[in-house]
Amino acid sequence: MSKQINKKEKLPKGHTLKMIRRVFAIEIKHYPVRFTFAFLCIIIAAVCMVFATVFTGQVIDSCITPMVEKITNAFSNGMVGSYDLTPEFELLGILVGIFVAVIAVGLTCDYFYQYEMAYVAQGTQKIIRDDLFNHMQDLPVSFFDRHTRGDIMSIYSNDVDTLREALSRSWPMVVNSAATILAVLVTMFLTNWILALCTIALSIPTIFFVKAIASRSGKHFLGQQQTLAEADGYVEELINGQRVVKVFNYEERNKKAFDKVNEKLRQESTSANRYANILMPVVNQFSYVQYIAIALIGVALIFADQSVDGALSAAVGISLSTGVIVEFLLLSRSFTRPMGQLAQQTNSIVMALAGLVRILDLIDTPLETDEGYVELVNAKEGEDGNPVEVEERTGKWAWKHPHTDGSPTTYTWLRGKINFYDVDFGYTPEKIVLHNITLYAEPGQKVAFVGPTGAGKTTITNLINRFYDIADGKIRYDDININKIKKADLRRSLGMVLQETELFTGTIKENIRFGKLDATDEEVIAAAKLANADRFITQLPQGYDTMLVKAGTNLSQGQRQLIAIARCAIADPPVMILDEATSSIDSRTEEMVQKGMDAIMQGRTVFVIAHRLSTVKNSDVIMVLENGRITERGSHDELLEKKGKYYQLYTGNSIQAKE
Amino acid sequence: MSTSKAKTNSQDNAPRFRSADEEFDENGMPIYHDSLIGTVKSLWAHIGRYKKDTFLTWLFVALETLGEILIPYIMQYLVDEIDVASTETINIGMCFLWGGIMLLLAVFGVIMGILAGFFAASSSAGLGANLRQAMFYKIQDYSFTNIDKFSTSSIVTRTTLDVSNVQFAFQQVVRSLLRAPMLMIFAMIMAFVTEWRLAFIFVAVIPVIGAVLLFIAHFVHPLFVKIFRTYDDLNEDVQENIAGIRAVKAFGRQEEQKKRFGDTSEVIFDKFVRVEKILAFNSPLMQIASYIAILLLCYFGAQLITSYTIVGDKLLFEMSVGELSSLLSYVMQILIALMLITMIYTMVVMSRNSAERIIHIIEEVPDIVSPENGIKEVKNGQVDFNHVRFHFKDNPENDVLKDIDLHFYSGETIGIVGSTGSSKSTLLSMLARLYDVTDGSVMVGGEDVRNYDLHALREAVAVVLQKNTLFKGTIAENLRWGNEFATDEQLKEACDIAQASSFIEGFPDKYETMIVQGGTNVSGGQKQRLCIARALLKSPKILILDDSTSAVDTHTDSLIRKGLSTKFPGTTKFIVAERVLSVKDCDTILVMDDGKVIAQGTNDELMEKCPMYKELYESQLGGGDFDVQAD
Repeated sequence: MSKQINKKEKLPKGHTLKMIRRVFAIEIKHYPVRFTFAFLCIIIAAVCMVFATVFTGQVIDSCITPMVEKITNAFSNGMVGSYDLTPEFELLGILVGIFVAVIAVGLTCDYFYQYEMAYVAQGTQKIIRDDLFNHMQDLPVSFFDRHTRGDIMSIYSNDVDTLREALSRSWPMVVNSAATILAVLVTMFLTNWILALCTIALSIPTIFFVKAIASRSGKHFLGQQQTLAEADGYVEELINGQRVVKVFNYEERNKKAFDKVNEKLRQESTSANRYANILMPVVNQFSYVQYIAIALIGVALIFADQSVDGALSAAVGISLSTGVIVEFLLLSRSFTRPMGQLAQQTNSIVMALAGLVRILDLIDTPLETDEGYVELVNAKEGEDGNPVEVEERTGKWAWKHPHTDGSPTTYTWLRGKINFYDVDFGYTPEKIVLHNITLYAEPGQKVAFVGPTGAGKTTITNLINRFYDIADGKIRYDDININKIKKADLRRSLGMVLQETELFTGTIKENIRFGKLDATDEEVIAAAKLANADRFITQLPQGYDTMLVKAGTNLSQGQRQLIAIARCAIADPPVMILDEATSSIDSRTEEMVQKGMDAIMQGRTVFVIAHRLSTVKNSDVIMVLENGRITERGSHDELLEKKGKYYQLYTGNSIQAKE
Repeated sequence: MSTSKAKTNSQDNAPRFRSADEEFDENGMPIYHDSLIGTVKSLWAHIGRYKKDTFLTWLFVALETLGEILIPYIMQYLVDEIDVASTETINIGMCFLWGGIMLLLAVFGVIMGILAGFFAASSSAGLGANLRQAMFYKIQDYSFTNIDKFSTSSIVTRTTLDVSNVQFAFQQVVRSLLRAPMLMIFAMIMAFVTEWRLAFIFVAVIPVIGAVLLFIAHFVHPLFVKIFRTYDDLNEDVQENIAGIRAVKAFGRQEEQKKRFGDTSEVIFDKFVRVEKILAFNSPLMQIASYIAILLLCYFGAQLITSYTIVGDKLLFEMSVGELSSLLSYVMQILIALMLITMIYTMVVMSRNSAERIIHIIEEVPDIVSPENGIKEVKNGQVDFNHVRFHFKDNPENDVLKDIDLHFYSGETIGIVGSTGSSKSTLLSMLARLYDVTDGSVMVGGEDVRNYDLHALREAVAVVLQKNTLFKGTIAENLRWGNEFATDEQLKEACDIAQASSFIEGFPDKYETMIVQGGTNVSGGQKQRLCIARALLKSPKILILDDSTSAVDTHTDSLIRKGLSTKFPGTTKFIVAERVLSVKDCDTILVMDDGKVIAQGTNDELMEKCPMYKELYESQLGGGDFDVQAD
């Protein structure tokens, strides 16, 4: 039903590791020092904390117990009070000193790893966000036809946000726990390798269990993120279309439709969290089971050893005393605590993986390809009248055309001649929407496209700027194959005023400057005057510094279009495409804009799409399009003479209607 | 090392977009009208049928925690049993007994834990769903004035990201709310039972920790508020960029857009780093407190252990070694409880702002509501504007409609022309009560529009908006917005009148053709005709075509008008157009300028008496030599 960024039902298996590796590659590449420092700090902190737990045991074993023994011995020897506890208290002092030092180091490391990891995590999120955005800028236009805005926006907010908790808290916790587990394991093997092996063996089912649950949970978290994107898209679409919702009384039905998405989201979220929530209690309680098992195995070992008079302990080379078992049980507690901590983190890690799938999906979408190599350069007239490349802005441009066969680079003036030869095009290969389009636009000519809606007028202009690529035929720009021209340079040479004006948050001045970034205020005003926008702009309280909010919705559509025309005028391109540029401007204003437009069009090749006679009338050539084919062409007078479709379209004469 | 060059100047970091529901003091800090408890109460009001799940979570958490507290206690007996064996032989039976009890407790704990997790998940996901629903429902009831207060991206962030935050926090809080105090209280009680003199160390340390927590939260919370507002900016950037991607590409402005986005994401990064710098103190400070407690315990413990009294022939120590190690383990337990509390606290701090942003959406009062017992039926299409005056709420000085007084009978066709910004659309949007008049009244079918049931009124008044929208779905689904129960024949009939059937039937999937978001896969003219057909399906008493044939060629335009007059004779039709051809045959034509009707009459009358109309006519039609045959 809806187009999702990711259609896959569950986390792709082998990809999980690959994804994790990619994230770490970013962290290490951009923050090598911080990352390594944080990593070291985590390990030092972990070791220090293991020491801290050992400390209390040490204090009891080597200070307090001997003290008590000394007192008891003195008492049983009948020499009450005649003992010296100074060495024990001195030892206690030393131990406390060491403890304080170690804890100081440990806690400092603790602070730094928390801060540094958070820093790296935030930095990584920023890099991923920027990567997403940067990548998105160079995706083909067709990508945006396929995805809803909300769906894409959801990646930036909901999915990137899942990384925050995982990268800054969970991941350090994982490293910390792993380091602790490792340290404890080493100690365990040193104490009693049989019981150590038992501990590992007993942990294996836990690991499998965690893995199984995490993958189920992950599947639902991915579902949750996808449904979240769906909800995002739905809300975004309906808020933007709220006016239509109102006038059609559609509120109640929308509520029902939203309930469906919302319910799906609730179910996915419940399942995902249920699985994730199972982990912690199970791992926690399992640690007790492990504890009991170790205790009983230990007891059984001692019992067996006693029954064979110590032959067992001699055979395996370890002492099997109750003291060893008790010490081992203490270690076992330190072993299972970090396991529980690990389990606690699975929730956010699995959720982050689900977010990551969607993030990487966008980042891995292939970019708009650009195999062009012909560049647009500033040029001045050489002695022979041919263009010579120069650094500074001359106001004149030339195509720089290097040749692969080794012949010298040629320069041709940018003149604005555009030819189509037998062009076919379809948005999908199966369905061709433009057939055999052939047209010649000489520099400075005005070419108009007219015809019923849906005939393919806008599509033709989308081929010139290569928003879409043709299926068959040739398009030449100043006799250069447009596929050979770098897209950025091609588009730079084309000015466009589109059917739907797209403005950006910022001042009016900034929006006009969008066409030429280094334009001075004078140039901005001159361009606005040319487009007749100056009059209404200066009437606004803040004039050119008026902020446009929410994509300019605080202006009327006509005013927005005037700004768009000014934006195009300031870019001063040799070729202009005006797609229904004046459709939302009332006729009186259009009259005025028209004068400005005529001035702008002077000396340029212009493609005009319009339904208004006044806009089209004075074109050099008018093409009538029907069903993706050019059916009539000629000047206004010639076409009227013909009394064909053009005549019919502009007289509104229904007698000859064939529709 | 770091790529950050960001200044921490608060002005640079100020969010660009400020929703109208958020207020700030002179330092740019948010002002709260709701107390934290008020916020929690407002949220709790939406728990609805998940209240049961929440209470069950608490019950099972309490039972699970009980098991968790008991197990180490039993564990001590098991250890003692083994430890005793160093001097005597092991009593295997006792070992298995204590082991068995522990096992039972563990199994009990697992079951309780799983149940707690289950109900925690369903209650939090349920709360999330309820909140989203409440928001969405409320937004559906918003008037345009309400909607203008929030930006689209802000509403989207609130319904998704903010709810996710609250949901996550709620789950964590529900699961820890009882566990943490239970662990702490039990540990305290046991500490006092074990050795009350040393237990005072606990009493001294805990308030210190509490103070530190509060101190940290005080610094962190305002930063979080700012971060979330910057998220709105970020979303706004993305939304705008996607909407304007063609312009970006056409002008080759990718690099500037990247920079702009990079700046916003830099602000988020920068603020988060500042938050983390403070938050990172949390865990070390907490641990310092507990290690101080451990040191104090060891020191005073050693004193107590070495103090003794002699009673008869027995040596009585003040405290045993075992008791000291128990006390030490209670410190660890308290530390764990404190960590949980810190986590809860951070969660609450982080999600408080999200919660308030949600509540503001839910508590916004829609300013156009249906009257109670409103009139359910619109009798006819008679329209009266009685001395209507109107200004937008945010701009009270500027009347955009000035004393409009107009009266029309059912079935009339009224054309309206006028320059951009002359308030043509605003005038007509009063009919469907999209805005309410500031002064005067608007009547439909002889009744003030404010007396109608809103639903009934809007059923009777069909508006084809200037800035129209199609929604994701098939053409048929879009058309049925006009009439849910329309048959295929009715769809076709409406499309015939709107001149849409020919192109629809040209599509391979015909009426089942999918429309993408915003309708960008059909041309502007096709979109307009679909929108007209959609409106016709309502069989309205009043039909408003607000510049809705601007992208349709004149021939088709005239066919649409002819269809309307023959098929909808009783419907009052308003046609706003830039094209004189579209209105010249209307019964009455209004010429508007600057919020006033400057002339009214038929085409011929206006040609006589209204120079502005004449000028318009001639600029479009008069100059040519063939337009006169238009009819």
